[in-house]
Amino acid sequence: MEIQVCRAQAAYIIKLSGRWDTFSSAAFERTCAALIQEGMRLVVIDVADVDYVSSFGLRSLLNTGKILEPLQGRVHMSSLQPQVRKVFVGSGFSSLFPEYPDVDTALRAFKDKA
Amino acid sequence: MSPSEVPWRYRLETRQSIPIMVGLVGVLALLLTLGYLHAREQILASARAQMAQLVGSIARQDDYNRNWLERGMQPLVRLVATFPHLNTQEQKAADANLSAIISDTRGRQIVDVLLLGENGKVTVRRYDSKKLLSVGSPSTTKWTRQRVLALTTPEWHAPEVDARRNLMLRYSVPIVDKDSSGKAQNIGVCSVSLAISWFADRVRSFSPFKNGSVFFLSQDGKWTLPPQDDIPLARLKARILAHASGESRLIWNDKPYMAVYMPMAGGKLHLGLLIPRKDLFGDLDRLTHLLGIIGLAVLLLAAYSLHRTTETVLSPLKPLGQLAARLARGELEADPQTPAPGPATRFPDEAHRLRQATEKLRQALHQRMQDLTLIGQTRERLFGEMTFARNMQESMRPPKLPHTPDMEVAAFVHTAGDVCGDMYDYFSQSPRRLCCVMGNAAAHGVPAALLTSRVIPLLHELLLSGLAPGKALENCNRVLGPAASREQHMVSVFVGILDLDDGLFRWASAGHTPPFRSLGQEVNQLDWTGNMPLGIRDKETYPEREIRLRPGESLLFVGPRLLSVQDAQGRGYGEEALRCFLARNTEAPTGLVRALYAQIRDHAGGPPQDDLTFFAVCWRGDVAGDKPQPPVDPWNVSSEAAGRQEP
Repeated sequence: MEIQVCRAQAAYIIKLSGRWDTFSSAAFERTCAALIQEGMRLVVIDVADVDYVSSFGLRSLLNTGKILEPLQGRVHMSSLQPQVRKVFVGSGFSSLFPEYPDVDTALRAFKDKA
Repeated sequence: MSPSEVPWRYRLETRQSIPIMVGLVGVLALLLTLGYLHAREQILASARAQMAQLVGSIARQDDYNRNWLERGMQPLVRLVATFPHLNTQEQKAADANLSAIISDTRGRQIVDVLLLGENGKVTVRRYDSKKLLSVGSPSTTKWTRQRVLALTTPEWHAPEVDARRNLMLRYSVPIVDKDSSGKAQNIGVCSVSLAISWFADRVRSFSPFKNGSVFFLSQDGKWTLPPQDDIPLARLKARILAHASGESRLIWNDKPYMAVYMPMAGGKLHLGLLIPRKDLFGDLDRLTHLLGIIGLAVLLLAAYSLHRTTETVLSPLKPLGQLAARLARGELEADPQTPAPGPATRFPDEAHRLRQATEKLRQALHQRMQDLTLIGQTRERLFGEMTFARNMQESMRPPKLPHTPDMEVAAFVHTAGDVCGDMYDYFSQSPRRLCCVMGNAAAHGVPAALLTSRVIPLLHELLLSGLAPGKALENCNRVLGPAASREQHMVSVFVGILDLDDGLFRWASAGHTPPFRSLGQEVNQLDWTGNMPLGIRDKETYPEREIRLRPGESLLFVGPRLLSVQDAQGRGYGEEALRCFLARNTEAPTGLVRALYAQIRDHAGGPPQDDLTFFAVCWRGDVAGDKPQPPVDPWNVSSEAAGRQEP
C-alpha cells in the first residue's frame, strides 16, 4: 500500500492506495504516529484507491482515532469504494469515523463542525 | 598453552632471524674474501716490482763486473802471450807476476791459460791470486784444440753456478802470436772465472725483504740454493724453468714461503727470491684475523640485537596469535593461563591494542554464543508453548455433531501458522436448536489464540444458558471490552441459532462478515447489521435479525480472509467468485467445503498464506413431515429494527 501525505491548512490528507491489510496497517500506524508528533490533529483519510480493507486495517484506524481523541483530533474518511464501504459501514466504523464522498467535502466538514 | 605448543607458523621470529643471519654472514665472508684477495694481489704486485728493481740492479752490477774483468784481462793476455818464448826460470817469474795481477776484490778469481803445444796438445795452467794452482790436461776445463782455435774474439760464457753454489762469470780471450813469417795465429786461450760468493748478499741488501733468500738459477739447472734433494725445491726449479716468471708457494724447512722469480741476462739466468710467507703476508694475515674477529663480534652483536628486536616486536603478538588460534578452534571461553591484556606500556603499541580489540571480540563472541544458546532455549520453550497452544486450540474446535436426517454440518480450517485468529463453533442449544458461531480476532499468533480462547467458551456458555445471539454478544462484549480496549484488540463475531423444526435462523453480528445462503443456484448474503466488533465500545448493543430457511437450503459461514485470498497477479478471490462457486456447487456441506478449499487453492496457486476458516450448515427441513411448515418468504428479512441501519 502506498501512503501519501499532504497538508490543507490545518488538516492533513493521507491518501492510501492498494490493500489496507495486515502488512500495510503497521506502516499506516507509524505514519500517523509521526504526523501526530508533528502536530496533526485533523486528518482526512482518502481511500479512493483502496480496494480491500481487513480487520487489521480497521484496527489501525481505530488505534489512530484513540490517539487523536484525547487531543481533540478528528478523523474523516473520504471516497470509500463500494466493497470497502460495505465492510466499513457494516462493521459500524462509520459511527466512529464519519465518511464523505470526497476530500473537499471532508475538509469542509472540519470547518462546519468547528 | 606453552611456547612449545605454539605452531611453527606462529613462531615468526625464528623464520625471520635465520635468513637474516645467514645473509649477514654471507655478506661479511664475501667482503673479507674480496678484501683479502685484493690486498694479496697488491702485495704480490709490490713484490714483483721489487724483483724488477733487483733485476735492474743486478744488471748494472753485472755490467760493472764484466767491464772490470775485461779491463783486467788485457795485461793478463799480454803476459800470457809471452809464455811460449820463456824458459823455465822466466816461466816461474811470469807465473808469479800473473798471480799478482789476479785480484779477488770482486770475488774469487780463477784464470785458466790454455796453450797449444807443438804436438797439438792443449796445456792448461790454472792460477789464482796467490799462485799457480795446477798444470794439466784440458779435460778438466773441457777445452779442446778445435775449440781453442775456433775462439777468435773475446767471449762471455753463460753464467754458471759452481760447486760451491756461487754464481760464476766466465770470460775467455784468444791469445794471438805472430809466427816466424809474421802471421798472427791463435796459440791459446785465456779464460778467467769470477765466483761471486758475495753477490747474493749484495742483492739481498737491495731488497726490503731482509729474511728473503735470493737465488740464481742457470739454464743448466744449477742454482745457488741447496741441492735439489728437497722435493718442494725441485718442484720450484721445474716450475721456474717452465714458466720463467711468476710466483709459487712452497713449504721449505717446515715453513711456508712464497717464491717470486723472473728471467735476467737475456734469459740465460733466472733470479728468484724466497720470502717467508709471514714476512710477505704477515701484516695482511693479522689484519684479516683482526677484521674477522671484529666482523664476528659485530655479527654476534647484530644477531643479539635482532633477537632482542624480534622478541620485543613479536612478544605482544604471541598471545594475540594464541588468542586467534583459540578463536579459530571455536574456544571462546577465557583462557585461565593467559592473563588479560593490561594497559599499554608504551606508545604506540598497535599490537597491544590489536590484542585488546581481539579480546573484546572474543568476549563479544562468547556473549553472543551465550545469547544464542539462551535464544535457542527460549525458542524451544516457545515452540513447546506454541505446540501446546495449537493443541489447545484444536481441542476447542467443536466435535462432530451426531448425524441427524434434517441437518448436516461440515467445517474446514486452514492454519497458516501454529495458531490462528479465526474461530468457529456449532453446538446444540437444545435438542432442536443449533447454535452457529463464526468469528475473527484482529491479531495473529498467540494474542489471537488467547482472544479466541476467551471468546469462544464465553459465548458457548452464554448461549447454552439460553440467551439470544444479541444478548450473548452484549454480555461477551462487556466482559471482553476493557481488556481488549486496553490492548487495542477487537474481535468480530457472527452468532446465529437455527431452529431445526421450522428453519428459523436468528442472528446477530459484531462486525463480522454475514454468511451466504444458497439453494440451488440462488445465492445471497445475509445483511450486514452495522454493529461494531467486540472490544471497542462497552455498551454496544447487537440487534437480532431472522430469516426462515427453506428445506435443503445451506448457510456458508466464512472468515474475512477468504474473500481476500490473492492470486499470482494480486487479485483477491472476491465475493462474486464465491457467489458463482455456490451457484455451481449444490452438493452437501462436506463436499461443498472441500470443493471450496480446492478452488481457493487453485486461485492462490498453492496453499493460502493466511488462515482460512469456513463451515457450512444444510437444513433439510422436517423430513418426517409430521410438522407443518409455516408459509414464509425465505428472503424476507424480519429485522428487529432496534439496531443500526444496514449499510
